[in-house]
Amino acid sequence: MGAQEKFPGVSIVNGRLAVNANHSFFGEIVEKGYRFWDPNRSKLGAALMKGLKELPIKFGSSVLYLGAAHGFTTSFISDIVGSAGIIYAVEFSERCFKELLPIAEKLKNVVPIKGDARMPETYSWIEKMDVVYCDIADPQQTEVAIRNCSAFLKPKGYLMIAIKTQSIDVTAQPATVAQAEADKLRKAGFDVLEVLNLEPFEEKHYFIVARSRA
Amino acid sequence: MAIYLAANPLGVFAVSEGKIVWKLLFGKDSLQAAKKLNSWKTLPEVIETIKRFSALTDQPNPASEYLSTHLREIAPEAGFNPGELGLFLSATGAELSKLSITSTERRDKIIVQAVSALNDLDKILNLKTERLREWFGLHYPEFSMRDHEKFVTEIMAKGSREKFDNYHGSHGISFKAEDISTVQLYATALRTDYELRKKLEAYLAVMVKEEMPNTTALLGTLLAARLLAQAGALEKLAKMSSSTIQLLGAEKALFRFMKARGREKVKAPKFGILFTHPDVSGAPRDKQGKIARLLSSKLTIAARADFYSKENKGEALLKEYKEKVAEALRE
Ligand SMILES: C[S@@+](CC[C@H](N)C(=O)[O-])C[C@H]1O[C@@H](n2cnc3c(N)ncnc32)[C@H](O)[C@@H]1O
Repeated sequence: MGAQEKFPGVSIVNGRLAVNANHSFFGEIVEKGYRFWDPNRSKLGAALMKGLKELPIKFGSSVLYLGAAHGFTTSFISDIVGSAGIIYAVEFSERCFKELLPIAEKLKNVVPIKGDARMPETYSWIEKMDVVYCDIADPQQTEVAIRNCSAFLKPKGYLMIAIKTQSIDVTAQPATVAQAEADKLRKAGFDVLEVLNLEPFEEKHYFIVARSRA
Repeated sequence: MAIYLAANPLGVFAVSEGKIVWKLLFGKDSLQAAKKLNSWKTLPEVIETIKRFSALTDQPNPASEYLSTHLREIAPEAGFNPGELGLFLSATGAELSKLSITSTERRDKIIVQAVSALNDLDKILNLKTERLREWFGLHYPEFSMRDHEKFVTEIMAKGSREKFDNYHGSHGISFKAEDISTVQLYATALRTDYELRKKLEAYLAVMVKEEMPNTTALLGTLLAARLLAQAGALEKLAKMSSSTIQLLGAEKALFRFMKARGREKVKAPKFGILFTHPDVSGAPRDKQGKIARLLSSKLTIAARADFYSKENKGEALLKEYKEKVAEALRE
């Protein structure tokens, strides 16, 4: 197989994205130790296919994941951080959460939290994180992400955020919306490292990687 | 010197000046730990400690900050080696979350009321906006702006034709100061109704997705909500045949057809509210009936899944449906 490792634990195998794992939860294909990762179903997957330069999520990382839904992307992050890492997965929809629970149980390094990302004080018992990942499709989501970072991000930690421009402003140009969100991050004390357009995997979606200056 | 209290899955800790000065460990059983964490402020030992130290418990505080920074160092003292900790946290998070999942009540009746409120509001918005157009039209008939909401916003902001760039030569009658301010007052109130409409729609979207994810996958939130409102309750919708669903909202037309019993040229209706689905309304006329039929047959499966199993197979249903539509359009 033509496999090329892009980041530790993340490879492109014959043109397709994969992590090193042998399990399957959503009908994804597993072959010879590679678990294939459909970038059409995951914004992080899409960002990787679109040439993400730096992946702050590494073996052993601690990640706060806001908007875990039923756990698709979470499960791939779980494979990357491995047994030495941990993911706190916050989801407020009861329905999604019920699907997330059994998957978290199998993955063992996922801490499922039924909670509202807009109220970080309700899960203030978690630990400090290497990375905060935010994909809640809320018009206020950058503000929500920043608030969670000030509560839980380690010094010089990373923020990864998927921007659904349509849920922020339908009338403005998507690229303009993404830049405005990036500016909010700069003002809040982050260096913006990358702003990626996720087309054609996700229309009108951007992905921002930022790092806390403090 | 203030003493702060905070809790995490390991236990309750009192922290003062960056040191743990008291602790109550929860033990290694996740369910017990979750139960205690869920109501730690009511544990007898904690109540006593709060009294004894006049400890502060509002979260977040320096103690919660200390715990989240030092969790990994505290864990061994609580009897967890690094290998065990992750698993324990994962299990405790799950148990804690299960404690907060209590509502199994159905919320479909609330959706029905909210949709009806939205429908009322739409009628009112139309009526009031038309009135505003006619009213302001006396003053500045040459002004045109098709979008209702934008029109209202313009009038709210300007009120008088003099504020528009090209009003010279207008054939309208002049407005006095009190005419202008009254028109603006009316527009301002109307604008609030448009804001209310947006909020109602956002509120509905969340609830509908939660209550009927399968139907929503096929119809989108607003149409799914309207279909539910036509049916009256999720249970009723789930028990309907595909042809009944297809004709929901066409009751009047159907009644006219039955009464005529073929004596007059009254055609049987092919669809009710489903006609507003873009796949149906956008299809060539001779395919519309067929597509409405495909849609309603998938909707029976979706509504049953929403009501009985609560299993979410929306994505798969939508895919099957889209394939069939593509096929029908090719024929
Ligand atoms: C776009 S989906 C996330 C998809 C997921 N990240 C993946 O790739 O597998 C957004 C999720 O965020 C959740 N969400 C929205 N607002 C939230 C909030 N305030 N707190 C927690 N979750 C929220 C929604 O219920 C939904 O499941």
